[in-house]
Amino acid sequence: MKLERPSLPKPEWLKVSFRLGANQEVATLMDQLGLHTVCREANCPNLSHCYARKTATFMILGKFCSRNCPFCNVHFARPEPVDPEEPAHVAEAAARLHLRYVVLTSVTRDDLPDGGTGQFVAVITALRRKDPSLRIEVLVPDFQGEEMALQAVLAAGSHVLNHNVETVEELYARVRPAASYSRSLTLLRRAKEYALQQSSPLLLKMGLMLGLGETEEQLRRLFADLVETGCDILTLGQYLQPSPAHLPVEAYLSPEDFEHYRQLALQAGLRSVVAGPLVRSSYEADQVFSQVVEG
Amino acid sequence: MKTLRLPPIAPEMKEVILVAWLCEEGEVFHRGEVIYEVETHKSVCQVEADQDGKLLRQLVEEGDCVQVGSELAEIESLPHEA
Repeated sequence: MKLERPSLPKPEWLKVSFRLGANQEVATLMDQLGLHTVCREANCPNLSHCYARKTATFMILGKFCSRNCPFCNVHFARPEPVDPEEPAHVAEAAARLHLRYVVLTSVTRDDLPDGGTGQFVAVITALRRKDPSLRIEVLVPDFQGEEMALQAVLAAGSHVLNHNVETVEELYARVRPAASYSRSLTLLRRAKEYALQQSSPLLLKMGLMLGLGETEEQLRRLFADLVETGCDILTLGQYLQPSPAHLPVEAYLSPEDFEHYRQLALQAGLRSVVAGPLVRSSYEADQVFSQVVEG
Repeated sequence: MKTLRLPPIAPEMKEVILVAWLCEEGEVFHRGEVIYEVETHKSVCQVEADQDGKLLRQLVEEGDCVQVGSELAEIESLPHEA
């Protein structure tokens, strides 16, 4: 079978290096412990780079997602039962990789009564028990707007609450049909309110894909909305089509385009903006956190 | 003589497109040098040599769809130059 070529040729700036064996240690560890990473499940183009740095983004609650978003590489299928060993295994993997900063995400589990909150809390607790000095970033789904779910995750203690709004409001019906722009913004707003009530130094982070047909004016409105929620960190990266069955790329933005939007977002009032064709929401998250905290 | 095979570049992809050879037949390559490029759905991967060697014969052409594990080239190992 001939692999179908994408409609748009890939630009020079989407070239990445691949060194045989560089991925092996992290990949083997994850397999041994029965863990998943979003790096692998989403075919992230930075996998080789990040695994070679001995880092990865843990994806908990199984490898199958209960939502079928047309931009996402993660498999849509009937989700698996929650693994009670997963919290201990994530903590074990973090220790064996000598991670000082852990990024934790999950598939969306609309099928679970608690939306997967309990497992987030269990994993965070296991990580903190194993190493109280760990910095933890959680990249969460919208929990269908359940405020208690969000509060439970925040109460477990993390340093960064990351949530991907993914695209501008005008494209939600096409890109995130099972999600809601206002619900995602409300999640960020509530997280900031919670942090203020608790006098917590929690940072809010949000990720966005470009190249889906959004306009500059729509992005300006989105940046203003984010500032209003109290969002601290924004990541901007190129949307990459996972397969011909997924949404097509409307445009490949150049590194200069990304710098332009980075400047616009900073001017809008965001504290830190990481932008580039290969930037993903958890890409080099440890370094981004350090830069923000240390100024 | 050894066979150069396509490694699993992107974990969930069983096949990719070989878009360019950066090492010609008869040419010597060194560990860390890019010897070919393949296109996955999300990027173009520049695959680095993991040893020193000489490329004897290319077994696939640019533009070919290649399965993970399949033969790409015949190579000869050379002692590593420090």
